[in-house]
Amino acid sequence: MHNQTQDDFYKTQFSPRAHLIGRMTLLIAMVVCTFPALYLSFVLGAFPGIGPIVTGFLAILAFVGVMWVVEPISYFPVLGVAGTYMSFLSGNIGNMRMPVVISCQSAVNAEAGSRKAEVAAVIGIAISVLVNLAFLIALVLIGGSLINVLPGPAAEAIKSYTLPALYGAVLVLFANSATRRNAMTGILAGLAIFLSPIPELFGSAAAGILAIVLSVATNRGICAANGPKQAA
Amino acid sequence: MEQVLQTANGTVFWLLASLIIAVVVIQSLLYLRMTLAFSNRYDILSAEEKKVVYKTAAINSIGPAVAIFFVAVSLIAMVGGPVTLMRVGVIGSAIFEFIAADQGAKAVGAELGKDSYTLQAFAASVWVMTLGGMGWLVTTFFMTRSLDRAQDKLSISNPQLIRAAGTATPVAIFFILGANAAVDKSWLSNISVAWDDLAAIVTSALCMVLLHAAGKHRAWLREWAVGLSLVAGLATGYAAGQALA
Repeated sequence: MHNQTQDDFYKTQFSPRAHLIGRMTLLIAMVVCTFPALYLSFVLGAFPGIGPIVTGFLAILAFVGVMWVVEPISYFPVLGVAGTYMSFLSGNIGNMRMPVVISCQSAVNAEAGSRKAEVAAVIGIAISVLVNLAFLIALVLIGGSLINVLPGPAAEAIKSYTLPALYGAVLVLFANSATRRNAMTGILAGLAIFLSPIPELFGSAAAGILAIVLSVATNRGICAANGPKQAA
Repeated sequence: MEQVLQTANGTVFWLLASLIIAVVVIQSLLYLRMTLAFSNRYDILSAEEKKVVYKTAAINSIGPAVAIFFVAVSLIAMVGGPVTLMRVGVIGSAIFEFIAADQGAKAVGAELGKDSYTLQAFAASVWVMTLGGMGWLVTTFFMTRSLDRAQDKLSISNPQLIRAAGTATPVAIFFILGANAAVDKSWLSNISVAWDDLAAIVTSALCMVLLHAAGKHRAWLREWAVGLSLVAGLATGYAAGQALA
């Protein structure tokens, strides 16, 4: 029926197209997202001068500069190609895209690293992008009045405890989808960074990189030892 | 301040915000269409499973979306609706945008939300948010292809390695995110535990363990598991916070 195998199709059609779409849309986004700043500066004449822009930029560069490089690497194993392009354009990765990805993958019993897992991730992220936008547009249109409708304790609880609660639940989901060895590797990597003097701000990115390095190191040893047996 | 909000909520800004949102929506739809076609061609997800993924994604987006909403509310008061929409809905995280806007304002000697926040201060905020968020777009643009190639090479020589990295990495990330949320410290000194946050983390984690076990044979439970754990965590966190106060 199909003259191409799934893997072949993925490599020759799907993957190149995913990169093309991702790079084109990111390029357009990079241009379009400067419009408000340019409009303010040169149409309305409110250009604050190069000095303040550089000063403000340097102040944040100190803490986001490392994240720019490290985050795409440490999230890539879970997000995949299309997921990475989508997540870094739409933001909110740790607090929204990652939880959605693992929930969707576990809901259809997709094994990590399989094509099924990747398909579930892409669909999940796309839906979450649309849902989040719908919420934000509603917020901007209705305004803050909606928040006054919520009872005080509920609003308070959502504001203070959504992130910790999300981290706890999502950690369990990811640990469940990993083998015991890999879950332990992950926890050890997290613990090592947590106990190190690395500032909190870089913690998650640093833990991600360390986990990649450790899991490659530990599993390479195992696979090399098993290698000859498998070949025979 | 008045002048800033008038400009920031003006028609031009709404148009510019819609442009960016259009790019994000188009990208999502392109990927969605292409992935569904791939899935259908090789029967990767059944019709039933597709429905499950749609539902699960929507359900699990609601909790975080509401939380983002709360941070966004305070940002709207400072930089207006359109800028909030394009910065928080797209590219940034709510907290990062806040810091960036603040640093921009400070650089011209102004303060967010105060009278000193002139149109120029607003422009400085927008520049810093734009340039700060641009970093991720640039690195993603240049790095993703190499990451894909590196993974491809590994997966040919050693497919187990990819699975290991893909499962160990998020465990490490969410472990440290949780640990940092519960414990405040500067390297092994001045350690203080936020018991209410810890209660929220532990409750939602335990709830997740139970729901995961119960959901082995009940698909609907798996779809709702994160949402239900989240609610349980919120309730215990709030109760613990009240008890401590």
